[in-house]
Amino acid sequence: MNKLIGLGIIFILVIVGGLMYFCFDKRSTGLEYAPNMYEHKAFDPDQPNENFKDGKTAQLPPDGTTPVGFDRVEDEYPNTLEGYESASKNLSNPFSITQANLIEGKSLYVNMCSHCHGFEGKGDGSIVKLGKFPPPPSYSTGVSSRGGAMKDLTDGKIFHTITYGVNLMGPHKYQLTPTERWKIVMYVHELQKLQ
Amino acid sequence: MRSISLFFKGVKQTLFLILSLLFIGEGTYAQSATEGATLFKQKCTSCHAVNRVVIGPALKDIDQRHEEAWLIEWIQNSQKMIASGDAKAVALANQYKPNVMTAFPELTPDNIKSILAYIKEEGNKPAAAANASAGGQSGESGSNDEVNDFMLGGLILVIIIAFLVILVLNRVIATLERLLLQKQGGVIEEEKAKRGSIRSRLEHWNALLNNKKRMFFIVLILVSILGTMGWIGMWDTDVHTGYQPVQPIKFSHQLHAGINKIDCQYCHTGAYKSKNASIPSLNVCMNCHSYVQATDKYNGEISPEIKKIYRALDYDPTTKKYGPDTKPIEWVRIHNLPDFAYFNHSQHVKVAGIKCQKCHGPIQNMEEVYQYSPLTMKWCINCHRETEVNHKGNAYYDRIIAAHEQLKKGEKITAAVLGGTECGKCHY
Repeated sequence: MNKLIGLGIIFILVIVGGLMYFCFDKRSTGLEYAPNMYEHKAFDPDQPNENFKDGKTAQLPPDGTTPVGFDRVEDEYPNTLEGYESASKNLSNPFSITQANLIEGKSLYVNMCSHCHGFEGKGDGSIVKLGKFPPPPSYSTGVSSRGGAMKDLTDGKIFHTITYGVNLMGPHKYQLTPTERWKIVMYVHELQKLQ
Repeated sequence: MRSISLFFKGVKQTLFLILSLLFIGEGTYAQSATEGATLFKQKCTSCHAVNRVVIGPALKDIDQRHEEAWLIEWIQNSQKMIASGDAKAVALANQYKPNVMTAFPELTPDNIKSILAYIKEEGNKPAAAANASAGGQSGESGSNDEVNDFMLGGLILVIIIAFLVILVLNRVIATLERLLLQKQGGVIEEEKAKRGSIRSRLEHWNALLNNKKRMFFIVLILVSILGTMGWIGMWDTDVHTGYQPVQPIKFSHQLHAGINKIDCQYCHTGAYKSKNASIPSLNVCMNCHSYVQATDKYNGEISPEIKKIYRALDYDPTTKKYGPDTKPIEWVRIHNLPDFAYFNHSQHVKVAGIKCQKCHGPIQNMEEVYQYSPLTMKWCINCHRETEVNHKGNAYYDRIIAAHEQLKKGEKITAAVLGGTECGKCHY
């Protein structure tokens, strides 16, 4: 009987130990000692903030301001068919075609565009292949919904489309600076030449 | 069982027969509809769906709204029709302003007829079936955790039951032994009487406590268990590895980054140009989710998780209009560096070219994100000690490289050599 009690105690200890070890809650950050600087006084952009009316730390920029590195293309070339045509006439890529610019354009294109347009711009990106999104027209063989062949799209038209989007494509002016957009335009021209 | 399988076999055969009859009967119709399906997917789906408005109108019952000849002319060149002043065409153009329908001069009247046949076929399907045929994977979210908890609970229960069974069996064996001894005429009566009393119990415990070997063993186990727990507890203090808070939207990185293969930087645009990787604002979600509503998984309803985006933006999916009553999605921060440590994403992603997975783990497999790395100083320092600096095409390092060329012939240059372990690099 003594042996049995000894065994019992071991068993219970193992169970208690196991319980305490495994039940560490993944939903909590665990034991914290002096977390003063984890819960810092400076506001993170994703934190609530009582100092603003809407309670957010991340405020929208005031009206009429332009972020560094952006220009106000939407003022001159609005999201209309006229704006699109006028962009086509008046805008041209301010960057010269260099190896470095093309490489950057390609990496931006791969990261930001390829999941729909495909790595070669043929409208066969990963989510299109999965049948989750309708295919966009191919850069080299497709027809633009605003007239003309995709391979004839000008600098300004591509820039306008990236900025505002068209049909099912959303606007990308919030994710890409004008410089980045121009580099993508440069790479898209390369893809238009493919057969 | 046998009768059920026989029944199914029967049903299968009947279905097969009906289907084959259908195919024979409407062979030509089916063929043109399949041609139409291919064409529809290539040419039309960027703007149209059968059962809902996308960019252009929903196409269900289109053959009842317009005549075939009119439709053929419209599809081939809608702008020409509007310019010629056709009343129906002008009305449609005004309704969907400023969107303009692409001209499809390459589609022959026969092509268009097959597309119309496909639309008719799709339109006649009941909504649920149409949605089911749209395809898609069903997610099994959260089931993993439940299984784990369940298994752990079960294990403990089994151990406890096993322990009880051992106890009972021991009792039974003891009784049997006693009975056996009684039969042989032993003198167990006294002992039996002793056993019951409290006093005997106390003596029993005393004997246990006095047994030094056994006590040493028990204390050893106690100390090792408590010691291990204490040790782990102290190491894990202020370390949030494995932290997996409940987020306001069940956003799955496994689906978006893993299956759909959308690059991390598409949404976390800050990762390569800012200190913060940045949580995407909802307009980035809407680039896809104005169209993608996962209705096929929710019986034709919009996914409740996608609805949360719409609610936050006060967006009406039927009218496609945004309202003024917006409220932010309150994501819960997982990776939190204390304010005395400076970390810059762009330096690591853009300059060093480090993959996101190096610190964030197999994020493309995470149904729900958890903190993979400990984010302790030791962890940072270890990586800085090992990582070779990618100095090619980076003018910042040119002078250092030149100055150290003689010293560094054939040697690795680690981040630590260039001051990567200086306090001021991370603390300010």
